[in-house]
Amino acid sequence: MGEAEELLEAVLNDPRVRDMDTVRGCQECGSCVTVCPGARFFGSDKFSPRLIIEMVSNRDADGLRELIDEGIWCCAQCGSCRVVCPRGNDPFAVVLAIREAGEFKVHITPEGAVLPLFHLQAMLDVGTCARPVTPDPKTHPDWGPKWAEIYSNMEKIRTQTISCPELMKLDRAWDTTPEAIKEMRKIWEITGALDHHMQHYPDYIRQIKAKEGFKE
Amino acid sequence: MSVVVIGGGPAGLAAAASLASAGEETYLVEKDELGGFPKKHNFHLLAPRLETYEDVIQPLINEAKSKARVLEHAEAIGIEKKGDKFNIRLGDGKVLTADAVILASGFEPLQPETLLEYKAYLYPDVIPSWKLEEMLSPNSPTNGIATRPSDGKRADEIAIVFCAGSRSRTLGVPYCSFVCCGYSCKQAIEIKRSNPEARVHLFYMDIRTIGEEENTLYWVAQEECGAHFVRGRVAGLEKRGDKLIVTAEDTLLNRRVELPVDLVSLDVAVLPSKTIKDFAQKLNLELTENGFVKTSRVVDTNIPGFFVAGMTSGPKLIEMCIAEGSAAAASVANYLKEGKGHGSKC
Amino acid sequence: MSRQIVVPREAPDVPFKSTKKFEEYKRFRDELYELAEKGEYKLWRVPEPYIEFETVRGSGLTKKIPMDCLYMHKSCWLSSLFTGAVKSIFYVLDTFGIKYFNDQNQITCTGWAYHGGTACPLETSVTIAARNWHQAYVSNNYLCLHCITSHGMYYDEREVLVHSKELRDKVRRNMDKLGRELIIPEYIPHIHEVIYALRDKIAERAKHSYKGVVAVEHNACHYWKLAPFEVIGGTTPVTLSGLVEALGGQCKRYKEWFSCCGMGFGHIGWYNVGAVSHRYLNRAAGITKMISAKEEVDPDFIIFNDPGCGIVIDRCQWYSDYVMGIKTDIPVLWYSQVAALALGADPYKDVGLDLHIISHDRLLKKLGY
Repeated sequence: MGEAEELLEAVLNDPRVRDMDTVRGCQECGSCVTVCPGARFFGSDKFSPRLIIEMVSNRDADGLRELIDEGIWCCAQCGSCRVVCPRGNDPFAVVLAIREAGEFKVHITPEGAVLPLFHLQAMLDVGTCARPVTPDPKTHPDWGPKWAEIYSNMEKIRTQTISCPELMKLDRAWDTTPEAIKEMRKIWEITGALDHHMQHYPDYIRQIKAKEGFKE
Repeated sequence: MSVVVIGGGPAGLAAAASLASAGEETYLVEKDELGGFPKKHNFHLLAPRLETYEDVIQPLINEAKSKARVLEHAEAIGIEKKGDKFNIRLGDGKVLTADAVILASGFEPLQPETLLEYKAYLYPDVIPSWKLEEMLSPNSPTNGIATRPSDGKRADEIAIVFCAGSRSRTLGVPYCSFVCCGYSCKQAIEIKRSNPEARVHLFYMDIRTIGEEENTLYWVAQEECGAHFVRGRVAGLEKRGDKLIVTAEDTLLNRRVELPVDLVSLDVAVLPSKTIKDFAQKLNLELTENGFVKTSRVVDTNIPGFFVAGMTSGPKLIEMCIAEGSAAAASVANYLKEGKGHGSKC
Repeated sequence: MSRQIVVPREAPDVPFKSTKKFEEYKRFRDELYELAEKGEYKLWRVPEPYIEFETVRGSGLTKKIPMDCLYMHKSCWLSSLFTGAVKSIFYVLDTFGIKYFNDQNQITCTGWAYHGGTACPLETSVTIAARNWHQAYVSNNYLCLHCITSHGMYYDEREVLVHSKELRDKVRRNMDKLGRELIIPEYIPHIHEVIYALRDKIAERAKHSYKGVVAVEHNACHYWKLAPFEVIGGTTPVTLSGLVEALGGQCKRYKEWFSCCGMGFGHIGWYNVGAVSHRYLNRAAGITKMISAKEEVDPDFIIFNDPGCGIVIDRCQWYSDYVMGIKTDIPVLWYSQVAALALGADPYKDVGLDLHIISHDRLLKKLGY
């Protein structure tokens, strides 16, 4: 089976698509495209929730495969499409299923959409998706100079001005316990997510497995 | 033997006139004035052939009035079947006894405020299609010109929203209301003829101008009146300044469309008449999934002696209502003679 | 707290018309309870004291909001970047003596990664959710989220657990391996709903009035678009505008009210695929909203319930001014900060306004600070 067929099959077997009323008949009314920020700001020729539903309904494997290269990443996951669809379709869930299938079943995610290491580390090292130090001004110049100022004062504001207990560290959002972090790692391990990321970050994953005593 | 026809709209008028012409003792009971929805909302031109109310409905009224026993401003508020007879209780307490009944109670229009997304509850310039119809009559307060309710100004940019509350699992009802495509094209023609400056934008998913309507309504609107058809369902309606911004995808051009207009007319869905639910309970009348009366051979119901005509059994065009009125009359005549209607299974 | 159902008074008073989707949602809720009775999982009911709000006005559907013993399920982004908004939550709860449990044993819901799409598969995310639900359950405090993305994610994950036996069985097995039980919450309350429920009491105790203050709102997509029948006000959510109005302010409409803020989840060091960048999406969608709000309303602030949305809007306005020459300057406040300021909290030590890029000086003056 080629990549495209594999992708289509994986999408159709995603519990969100297979076990729920996600893709039903489509009137091609365009309500979803009207409200979609992805379609609005990237253009509906690049991304159209309506066409995605059509591709899944019509089993257009090649169309879906092509989306992974660029278009599928336009989605902002807002759910506006879901709330306006008169048939009760859910393009939002389909997009998530396509991205997941592309990464975890067929392994064709383009480089710029692979989970960056520092995000993975946040979840597995401290147990929170974000850390106060995450949005570095150097990589966010469009936030302006005031952000750089606040960023350099972050520690002082957190620890002295506001000083809300358990919200003062810079390396994590709140003071997660070692037990919680260990459990997070265990969940990734038993569900195969840790093994999956060996293909992207083998050294980091090996280090975690060694630390926690997980099998290689 | 006597027959009671409940409802004095096109279907009821045709039924009463046919029955009375055939010599049956016929009562026609109408809760407001004869003429039904077209009368109530001052319809002028009717789809599909742009004939006038005077030419189509008024003759029916005249005939019914001259031949049947007409009771206007009399609402049928209760019914029961005792043996072979029906007792119909009116609002003033009077009870009519009949050997057969034709229910032609018309329909209930979906109230636009219930469609929260279209914000009729918030903006006076978002109106239901019957309000537009009223404005377009030559004897309306605005002399047939479509104007904005908010400030009385002439509406030069008008959006007509098809399927407002129809064909949807999430807004209104799941079925098609049948009549809207036709009358929307008609309204576009009337607007342009009364106000050559006007631009009418019709937002549709499908155009269901069937049969000859295609040429009397759809192409006339597009070719002669320059109506702008956008194939996309209106999914956003917001106000900006004194204009309403209507958004949809033009699915044929694959482009998002944002249009500032003066007036938005919603083709609101056709709902079953309120009388049906109550009568269904009292008589054990079978209904469809959507709450209309279930029929066999178009006008017969599961209750012997009880017949329906017109929108009571589902959305349809005016001329179909008139036809069903006559069909119901024929079925009644057969029932009175032979004890069963044309569609009866017994 | 009485057992009566509270109608969201700010929602439009129009007759309710049932739809097919509405009927499907009711069947989902029936199944939620039925499967629990069959022993598929334990259903975690909201204990008293709670306030039961009608969600879609006129529909008879309700949502129970717990009003004491709240499990503070924290937000990664709010706790990282806007500590004051979190402290404001505690400030308001302390004012009314509402007990809460700030569990350090809580891990991120990973909603941000889930919506980003390539972090971990569905089974991992749902297992993490189930773990957090169980963790809250055994603490005897009802789940009370700080983040709307958590709300969207938990709502969807609860739904897929009910509908997919295959997934449910997998997650139950994972819970066994963790020494935990599969618990599913009856409702998914958010702390801003608690503050909405307290709005009149806050107004009574307010030291600063919002009279003469004009706001606009952005009610997060993941609150009401994902769960249109299980939020207060349905598709016309009232939890933010209702709070502002109860405190004396006005919350006005603007053309881009409905529009997503454009956060996109791939915007911090992530999506850069060909021409697709979520940093661009942030700016495009966020600035579009702010221009509409500025031109049509010129508000004193914009109120949010989701952390991500507020971050986007606080950050994108500099670009709008500096690069595009359009100055909007609309300061950002979360519901907790709005409430805390009303109650007289310190704008810097409690509400943490130092962490915001756009200054609140004009607003603070109007509030009488």
